[in-house]
Amino acid sequence: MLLAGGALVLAGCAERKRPTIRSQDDDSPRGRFRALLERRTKALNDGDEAGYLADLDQSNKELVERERMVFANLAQFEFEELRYVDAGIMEETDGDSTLFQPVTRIVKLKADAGPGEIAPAESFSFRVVDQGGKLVVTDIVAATRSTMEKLRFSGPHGTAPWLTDKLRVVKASGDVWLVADETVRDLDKYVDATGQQIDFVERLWGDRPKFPGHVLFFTRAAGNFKQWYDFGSAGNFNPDVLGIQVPLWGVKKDGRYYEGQFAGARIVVNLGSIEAGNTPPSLTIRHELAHAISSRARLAGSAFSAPTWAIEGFARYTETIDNPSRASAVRRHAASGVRAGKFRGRPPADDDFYGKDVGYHYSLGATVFLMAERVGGKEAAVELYATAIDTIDAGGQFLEFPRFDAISQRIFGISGPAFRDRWRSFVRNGG
Amino acid sequence: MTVPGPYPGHPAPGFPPHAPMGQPPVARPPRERGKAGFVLATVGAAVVALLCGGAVGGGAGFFTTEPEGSETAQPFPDNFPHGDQQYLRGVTVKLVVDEWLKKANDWECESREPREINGRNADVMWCNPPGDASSDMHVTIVYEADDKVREVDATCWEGVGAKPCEALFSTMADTVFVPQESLRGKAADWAAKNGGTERFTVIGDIRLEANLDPNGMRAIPAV
Amino acid sequence: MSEPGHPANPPTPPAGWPPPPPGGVPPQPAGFPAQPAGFPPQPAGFPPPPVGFPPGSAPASASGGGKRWLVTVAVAVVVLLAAGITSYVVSSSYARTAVSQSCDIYKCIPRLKAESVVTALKDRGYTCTTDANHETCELQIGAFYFDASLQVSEGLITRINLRVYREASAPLTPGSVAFLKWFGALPYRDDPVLAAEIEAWVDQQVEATKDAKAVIGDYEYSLTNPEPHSVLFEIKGTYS
Repeated sequence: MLLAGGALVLAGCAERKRPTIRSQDDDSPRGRFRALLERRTKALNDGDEAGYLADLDQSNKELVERERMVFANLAQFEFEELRYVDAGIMEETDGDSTLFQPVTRIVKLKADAGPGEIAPAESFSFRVVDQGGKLVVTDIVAATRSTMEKLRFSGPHGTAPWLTDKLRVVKASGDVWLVADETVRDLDKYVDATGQQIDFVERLWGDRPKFPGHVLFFTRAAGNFKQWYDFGSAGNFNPDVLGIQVPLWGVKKDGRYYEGQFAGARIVVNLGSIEAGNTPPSLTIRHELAHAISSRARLAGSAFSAPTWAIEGFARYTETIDNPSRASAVRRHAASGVRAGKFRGRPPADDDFYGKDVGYHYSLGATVFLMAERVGGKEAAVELYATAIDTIDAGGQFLEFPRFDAISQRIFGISGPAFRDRWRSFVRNGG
Repeated sequence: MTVPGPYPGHPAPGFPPHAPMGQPPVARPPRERGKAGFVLATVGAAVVALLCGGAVGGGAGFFTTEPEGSETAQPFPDNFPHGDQQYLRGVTVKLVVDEWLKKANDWECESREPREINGRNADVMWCNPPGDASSDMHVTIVYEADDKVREVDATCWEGVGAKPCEALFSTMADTVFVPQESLRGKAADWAAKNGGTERFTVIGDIRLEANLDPNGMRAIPAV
Repeated sequence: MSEPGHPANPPTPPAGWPPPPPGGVPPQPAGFPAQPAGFPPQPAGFPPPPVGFPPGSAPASASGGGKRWLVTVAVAVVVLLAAGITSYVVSSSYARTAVSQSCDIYKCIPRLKAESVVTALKDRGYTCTTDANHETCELQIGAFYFDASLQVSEGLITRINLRVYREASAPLTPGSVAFLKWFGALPYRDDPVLAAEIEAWVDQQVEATKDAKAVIGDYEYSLTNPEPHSVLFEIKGTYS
């Protein structure tokens, strides 16, 4: 009876306990890596250098110092958006370390603008190991043509100067950033000149589509001029050119390039070459700015692009505006090419533009716009340029396209063949 | 918030056995010895019975009883995804193809390769402007019946931000909201402002998504 | 260059909207079954160990001895029955509230017929297929693709694998998370308190976009985001 009584009492008091949710920490490498990237993004946006370096393998001095330099560089720019994105990252175990690549970082400056949220980006290969339960980064390799080939991944290029060299950034009037490496201690000398050229080019271009700001990098080191933006890996690289303008593609949500429109532009000024040739830097700056200010309106694409004769020709033409001696030099240069039998009655084609006759090609392209200015003034020259860069014309046949007639009527009020003939005479007669 | 307390382990099927202890026998007077013997025997028998009964009963109970539980699942909450959500509310192929594209704009349409979705075939209609403009833009409609339209997808090749593209997206958005008059304006507005991006919005139960592949916008149901 | 215009004569909508889908607040499931007895500890008053049997105990008179023997047996029988019944009742009610049931070599959700879950999903508009011991149901709505796969053993469910895939990495919506939560609560559908806790846990993990694992009773829950556009949720009966 005692037993029965006892059991009934127990039946009332004791109960099977309700199961609890016993959570475990996420330990998938992917999840921990995602958290690591989030920490780095936060550190970048908070200006927290220690946080940015915290997940690196501290025994790898070279890596730590390099990332410290990158952090200090980035801190001097004004970013619209600066963050790592979780898009398209592949994970690959390699011995006892893991490779995550490509790891994409959006680097959108206030000077940039893409359609919607399209933004310039750069990517890296991260190597991580597990050190006592913590994920530690033992190497970060930026994506260049050669590293992507070696490590077998592809992603947005990581070739900006801030990744490889200690930089100094000076912000001039509102929306212009001038950046120097350690070979250019006299950057301030170029601030005023750049400001003037920007005003000039912006007045010329009017309110056609352009980027909100301009970024110009200056160097005297030939090595840097070759390495920055991977210029040296291009088949037609000429180390003596006075400057290069780089239009940048942005990336979509999936981390892939959007090729419909450029999202930003950068200029690199080769002071070494400029000083060697005794050219006034302001002309080069104007030339590159003419590229930059119009690159947003330029036909973008990897399979096709706007005609080189128009891009380079117009930039060369801007150097001649209000500069009659420069203008006549350009005309003479084109005429000498005619005498040497190089003129085919049309602007130069894309394929060998930067070849051995590059100087002649620049001048010949410029004559199209000199002619346009003569017929309809500066505004007509700019409008012709804006129309030409929205076209595919690899063979320099723009002036012979059937629809050039309508274009010429609209801009000049004369027929296409009439403009063409006048231009040909202009070239042959040297002006 | 979790209920505190340890999760019980497995129950013992019976009482743990007790180790008997031996003691040297003690002589007792005969009558007392008989009574004591009876008591001891009874108690001993009770103990054995307890152990056996407990073991057998417990074992039987534990191993032959099935856990309780309902044989059916719990009801679905209202927002659990539902087959009816596959289709754009009130939108018909007639509205999009006949009223909007053909009648108002003289576009031309043709059937294309069906798509397999959820194990069924969905028909695809491809429409574009007539003549020279035929490759400037197009609209695709994916549907399973006239009143079961899964998707209306507009693509424009005239350049991001071009006015004709803006008009295409905005009238497409307006059209799919014809059955929901009060939302038409909002939809058309959003579409006009967000072409050439990768943004999306949900208006009512329809999702408008802009894309840059290379420049399009589509209307699909939201969930 | 053509410009699409507004539709010329937009058709008038049909009178009244189509009626809303049947629904309303689902009835509350039955409360937690009556509390079972815990397993019993030592009974009170355990008799002292026997001191020993006196050797050669003097036999009592024949009739007195027989009566006594009968009493002993009676007591033993009563105790046997009492102990047996009590422990049966206790262990049975304990077993009845187990959170999993053995099904072949696995652990399954108790009593829940896989068939009934599949039927419920089919009625909800999902497309379901069978493949050996797996039942899979799927539904695609706009940019979202829902997939539920049940591993079945002896008619019961031993494992659930869910996937919510979104085109263009669209963010998860309450409706798509409701999909995950309903399955998460399935093993504990009869315990509204625990079911609500599990659903809250799913909400938390999804919001934090964290990979998460938890052991809840006899089940291993695992919620992962392997890619920005998909969420995987696995609920598996543990092995003993």
